[in-house]
Amino acid sequence: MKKQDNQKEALTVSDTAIIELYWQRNEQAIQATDRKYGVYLYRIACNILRDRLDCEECVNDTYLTTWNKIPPERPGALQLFLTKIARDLSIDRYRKNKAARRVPSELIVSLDEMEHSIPYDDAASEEALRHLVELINRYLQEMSKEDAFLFVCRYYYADSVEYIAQLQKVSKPTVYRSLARLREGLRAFLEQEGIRI
Amino acid sequence: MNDRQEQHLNLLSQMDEQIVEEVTVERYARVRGLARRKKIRWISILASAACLFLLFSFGLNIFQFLGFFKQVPVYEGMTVSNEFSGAEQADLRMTTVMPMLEFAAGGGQNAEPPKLPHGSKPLEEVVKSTLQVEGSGEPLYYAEPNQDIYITVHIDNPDKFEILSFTLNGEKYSSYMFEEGSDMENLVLKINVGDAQPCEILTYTIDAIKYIDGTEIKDVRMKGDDTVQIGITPDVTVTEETGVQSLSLTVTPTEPHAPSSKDLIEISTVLYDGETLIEKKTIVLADSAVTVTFEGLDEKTVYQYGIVALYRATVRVLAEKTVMTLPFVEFTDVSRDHYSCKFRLQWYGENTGTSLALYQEDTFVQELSVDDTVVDALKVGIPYRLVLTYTDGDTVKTVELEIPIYGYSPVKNGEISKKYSPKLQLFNQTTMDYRVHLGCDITATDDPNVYAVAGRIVEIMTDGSLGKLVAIETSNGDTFYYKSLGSIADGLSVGQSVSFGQVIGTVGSSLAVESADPPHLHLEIKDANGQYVDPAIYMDDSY
Repeated sequence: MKKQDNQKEALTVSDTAIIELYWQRNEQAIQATDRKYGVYLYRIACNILRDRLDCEECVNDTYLTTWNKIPPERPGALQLFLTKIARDLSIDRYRKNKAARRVPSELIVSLDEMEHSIPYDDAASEEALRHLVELINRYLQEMSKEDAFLFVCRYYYADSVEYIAQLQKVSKPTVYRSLARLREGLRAFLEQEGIRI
Repeated sequence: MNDRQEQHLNLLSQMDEQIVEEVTVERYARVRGLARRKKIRWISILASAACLFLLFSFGLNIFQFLGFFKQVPVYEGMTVSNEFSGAEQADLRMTTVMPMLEFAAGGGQNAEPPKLPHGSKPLEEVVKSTLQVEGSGEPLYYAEPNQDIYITVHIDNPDKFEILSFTLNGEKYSSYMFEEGSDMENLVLKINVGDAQPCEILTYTIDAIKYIDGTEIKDVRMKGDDTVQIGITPDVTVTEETGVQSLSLTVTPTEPHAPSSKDLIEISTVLYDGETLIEKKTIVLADSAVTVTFEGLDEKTVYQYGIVALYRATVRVLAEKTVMTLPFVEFTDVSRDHYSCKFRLQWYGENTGTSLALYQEDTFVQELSVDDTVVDALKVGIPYRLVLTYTDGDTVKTVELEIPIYGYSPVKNGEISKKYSPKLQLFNQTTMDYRVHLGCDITATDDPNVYAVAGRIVEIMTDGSLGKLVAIETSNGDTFYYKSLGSIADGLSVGQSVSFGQVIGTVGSSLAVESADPPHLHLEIKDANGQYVDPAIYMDDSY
């Protein structure tokens, strides 16, 4: 019953209330964050890091970083705020952890899928890269909501195809086909804009 | 990550923030929905499994009630015991032969039974390992000729079928022949081993166990060992005689015939010192007694002897006992009074004493004659020892006697309130300064009397500063000064002899320099050289 109460409580505790707790330097803020977003953040870390302990440490580091950032920050969207921190910390840990890199994470698999859709130029200037980002975002803005959901889940959150299929309630082959279509579409879009792949 | 992956990661991390935020919110909601669906699915699976289980159990009970799935009884084995009272049985395996045998005590044994060193193994185990006796078919049970034994047949019979009969060594035993107290899983049969030969091994084999299932007679399934073996033990009496370096055993069979068995190899006497089996001598048990002697043993050493029957595949210890060889010589009849000690030298070997000396701890005191039986001029409270030197063949040996310490108690149940301190200055409550203390202050608890040491009174004084005092000189030249007395006993005079423990006064505060202290005895002792000594070393352990 206590777990249910906690879950109900988690649902009713708004992000605004949680941010307020951080501003009051009340340690309940971290507990509230963990109850509401703990599992969610753990999933984000797991897409990048395979090791359970690494993922747990990453989530704890996320709380610590959030505690140190709020205040002075007062994020408008706590969920996105936490997501970015967790994702960045996971990627950093992945880069530093030799053992983790021995097992390719879902992140690497998803990046490899983009090999033939996004150009690579080791001598590209900052301006060229900024232009490329703009083009990718324009392509993203023209997608349907469901396609955008699929694209962000796969190439931002590095969710596995199987997991995306569960979230979308479709089969895995359907997800594979949709992703292939989106990648091909991106390639065509960039080529149309004069970018050589 | 390679450079390409790093570059692409950098690009994709800069996706449109608004789109990412929208997807994040949607993703979070779908993740929670997915978790809920998974939980519901698991609950359904568990509920279904529980229902199936209940259904299955119910169905099973119904079938069993109707007579389906009954379990055939299974024979699991037999055990043997020498008594059966329905609830408890004395297992023949645990019965030792010791209570059945008679021992005649030899000479020179101590009252306390001697023990082998800690960690010594059981004799049977030592004999088996030393003589390398091992193998299957070891009889687990033993009985005497013409003894009644109880064989219990164990059957796993959860459905409690009625057991009709079984066949043992070809003879059929029906249920009415089972002992009262038997049940359908433990059938107890009483049989007599008969006039079996000592050391013979009897074998009992069971088969054809029948049970009733409805109107049919069926066979119990056989699973356990169908055979038990029972070794018949010979009945013997053993007497031993210990010497300084020898042990003689006389073994007499109770039955007037020689034991024989095709399975028996020999009967032997063995000797064990706690580490190894040092000797084995084969004996032949006939109508009369046979004597065996072990020689070359160590004096005053514990040994264990055994009479063992060696079979082809096992060993049976018929008798065993731990004894101690005699010492070459020992001090006996020791008694002590306050100034002397009486003793006697008991020689078990030849009298080869060369010297007898008295030591006070490690200090030589005096030489005595090996024929002496008393040593005088001992002091109370001092530890002494007598050391006898003798020869055992070419070896010079010694044996010692720790003379009991005879302690002295000048005030019964007294307590030392200030110790003897000839060098370190102690605070004096009366003079309010620090000074050495050449005596021992003893306060009384319930008895204020002061008890004398034996000797002659050399001084009695009542003085304004020294207070009331009695001094006694002992026979070895020590002088005991009893100071600070509250009163002096009537009738004492200088030159008078006093006995040990005679009351000479009471504790008090008459010593001027200690008058502020509670009533006490101030006891000083000077030895024959006039030197102060610590009175506490003369006192008993109560101080």
